Amino acid sequence: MTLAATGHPPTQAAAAAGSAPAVPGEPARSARPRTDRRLARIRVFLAVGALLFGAVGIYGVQVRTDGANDAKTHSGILIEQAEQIYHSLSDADATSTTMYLHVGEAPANLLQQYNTDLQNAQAALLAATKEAGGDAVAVKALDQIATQLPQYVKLNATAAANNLIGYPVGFRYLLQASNLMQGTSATATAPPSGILPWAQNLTDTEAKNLSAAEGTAKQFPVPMLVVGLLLLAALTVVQVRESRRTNRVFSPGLLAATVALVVAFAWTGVDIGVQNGHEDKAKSRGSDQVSVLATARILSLQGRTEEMLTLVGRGTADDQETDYAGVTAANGTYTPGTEANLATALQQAEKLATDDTGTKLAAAALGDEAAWHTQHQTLRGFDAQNQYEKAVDSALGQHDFATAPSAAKSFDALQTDLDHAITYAETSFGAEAKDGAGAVAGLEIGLGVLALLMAAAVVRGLGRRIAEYQ
Amino acid sequence: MSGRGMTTMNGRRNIRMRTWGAAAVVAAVALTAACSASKGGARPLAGQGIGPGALPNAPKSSPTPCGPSATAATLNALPDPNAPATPGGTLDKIRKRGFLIAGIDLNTELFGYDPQHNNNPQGFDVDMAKAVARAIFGADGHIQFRVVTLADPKTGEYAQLHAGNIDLAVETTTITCARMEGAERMNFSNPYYTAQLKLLMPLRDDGSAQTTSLAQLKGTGTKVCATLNSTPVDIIKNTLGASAAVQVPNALDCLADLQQDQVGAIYTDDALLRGMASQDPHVAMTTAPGGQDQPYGIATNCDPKSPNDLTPFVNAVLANMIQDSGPNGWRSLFAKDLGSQPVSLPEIPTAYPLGS
Repeated sequence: MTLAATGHPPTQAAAAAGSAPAVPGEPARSARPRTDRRLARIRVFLAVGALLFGAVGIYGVQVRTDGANDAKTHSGILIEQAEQIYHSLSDADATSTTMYLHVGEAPANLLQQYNTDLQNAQAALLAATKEAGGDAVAVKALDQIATQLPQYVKLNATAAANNLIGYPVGFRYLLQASNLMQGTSATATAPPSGILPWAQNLTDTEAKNLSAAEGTAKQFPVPMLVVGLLLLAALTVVQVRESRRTNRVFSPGLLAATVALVVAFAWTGVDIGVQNGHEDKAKSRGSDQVSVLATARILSLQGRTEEMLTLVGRGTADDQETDYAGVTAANGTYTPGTEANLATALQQAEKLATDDTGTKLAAAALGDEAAWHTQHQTLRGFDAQNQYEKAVDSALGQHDFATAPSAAKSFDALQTDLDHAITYAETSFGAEAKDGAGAVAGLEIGLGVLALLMAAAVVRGLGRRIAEYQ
Repeated sequence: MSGRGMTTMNGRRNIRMRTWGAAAVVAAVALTAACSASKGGARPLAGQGIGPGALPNAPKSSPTPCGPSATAATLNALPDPNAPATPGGTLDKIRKRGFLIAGIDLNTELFGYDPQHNNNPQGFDVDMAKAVARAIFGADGHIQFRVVTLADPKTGEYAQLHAGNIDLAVETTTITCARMEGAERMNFSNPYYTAQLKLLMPLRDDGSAQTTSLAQLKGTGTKVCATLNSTPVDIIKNTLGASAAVQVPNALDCLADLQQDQVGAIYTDDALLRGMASQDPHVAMTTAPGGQDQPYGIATNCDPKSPNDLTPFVNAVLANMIQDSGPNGWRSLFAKDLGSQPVSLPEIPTAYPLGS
């Protein structure tokens, strides 16, 4: 601004002079009067243009970084917390159904896990509520989860209490609790019901916001380009006309301003290219991977819950096995169940992996998923052949199955695989996102300095010329 | 298939009749009536490649009334466990296998349940099945239990019997004309328990059972719970209006709902209500008289092509048990499993419920 201000006084002076007679000593070639005033106006125009270019450029970069970061942070936090809620509560449900299958008091480690899950879910719920602010969609979803969670905990507690005394009504409570947790997803006409579908709803909404934010982060700074091109044109025209009008081929000031403008363009272009590259990589390496692996983890927990409920139900919850295994309709249409969806998600994760470690981790998960499915089928076989205790032992990894392969062991192995794979994908995502943000660091300052240099060069360059008329 | 065939099976003709009522007289008629293909007209026969549940669009004709003859075929005497059974018959198959496979329910406290979760089923239904196995083999332990979902169209008693996965089903199944003559027909034994539709409600403040009948709940706004699509649901709707009926997948869900104050009463068979009351000291059946009798029978497969010698055998076992005053008799088992002395013996009704 100070430089622009220095450009003003001559203009104002010229305007104040009004129709004052031409200053003597005008170059002979110029037939027109007030050339100095015209040059003064051009100087102001170019200087302001240079500063405007800087401002628009800085704004453009800020939109890419700050604006996108804000949305990313908000949606990012909400997605992260929603996924934490989803994972903790799915795990709580799988754990509570597993505890139910144990005769008598629940084993301490499972009880601990259940409590930790609920605590984690509560913490995530609090963090998300704090972040949600005026985000109406998020607030509604979180409100639904918060209201239903105590009911879920109560149903489970009643189930456990009845189970301890040996009252079968406990299972109905367990089933009601699990149904409340798993709920039903939203359809075109109906909102979701239950706890997890609302967590899903929150994730989906915020993922859309995040995707929009990622679009913003890759937005091309069009205003900067327009202002810059106009400025370049103006600088060129002025330089060409001045060189025609005078004997000088170059005006060092205007030339310096032009060079600065070109440098600014090049710098911005390179940085944007690099940043976009990182953003794309972050998406493909990290967030897409994390998202498909998180889905797989949820599906595995859902499958485990179904495995447990089928066993505990003793024939009254066989629909849970149908949910697990999928169903073929009378017309031959196959609707995949939890297990098939889980396998698909893991195959997708393997495909999405961008390096050897990612591929290996996904492949390990796929292997353990297949092993678990085999164990599950064996377990179902036991149950069908009147070997209920064997089925339970495999499901819980106890007695004869304490060391032998069991559904419990394969399921646990799968959980470990998924935890590793998710941690790895998250790390990749974090690194790329950080590099992306780092790529444009300094660009804002650079654009500011270059804009000031341009303005100074214009003022100084044309200032000399104006002085010649005075 | 004939009554004579049955008696020649054990090679002894002049043995005293062990029946209640005049059952044996109509034995031959009963067998054809209970499991006749001709009556079904166009309905495909079993064994023609039509699997269970393969008739989703079969027209549902309303059941025709049926009476005592539908279940009454009874052996004159139980065959000696060591004597050879009629080759190719159901009993022969079971003997050769070495154990009876009984379909039971494990979610009905007092009738069929596994109190220790250790595959050691207990209850009145379970004891009925054990009695049949003991009569076949002359010793305990020759029995395997399969959990069979009650009335499930795909995995229920009919499907399991039809597929040959179980020999018989004992799971508080009401004998109805529809179940004996409908598309998914089964053979039924004579009743081993006569349930009544009763109302279960919270105790009064003084700890005594309420006296309310279903009809007396009219206008009180009380929600009454029953199993999805069951006869009691229809009765609740007809008596109190559609909005009073709360339907749940499993009868035991009603108890959970009652405990959570979502319904004010449960209307179903007293057999199930007994089990519920045993899990909650604050509820009891009301003292109002019960509704329609629900005679429970032991179901066996209905295959018109091969003689079913199991149902008459089961009927003979039941008749013996009812007369037996020892520890394995019907009265003793009733008292042991259900916690009270029976007020009456199971009766063959003049007409079975029609069902649907």
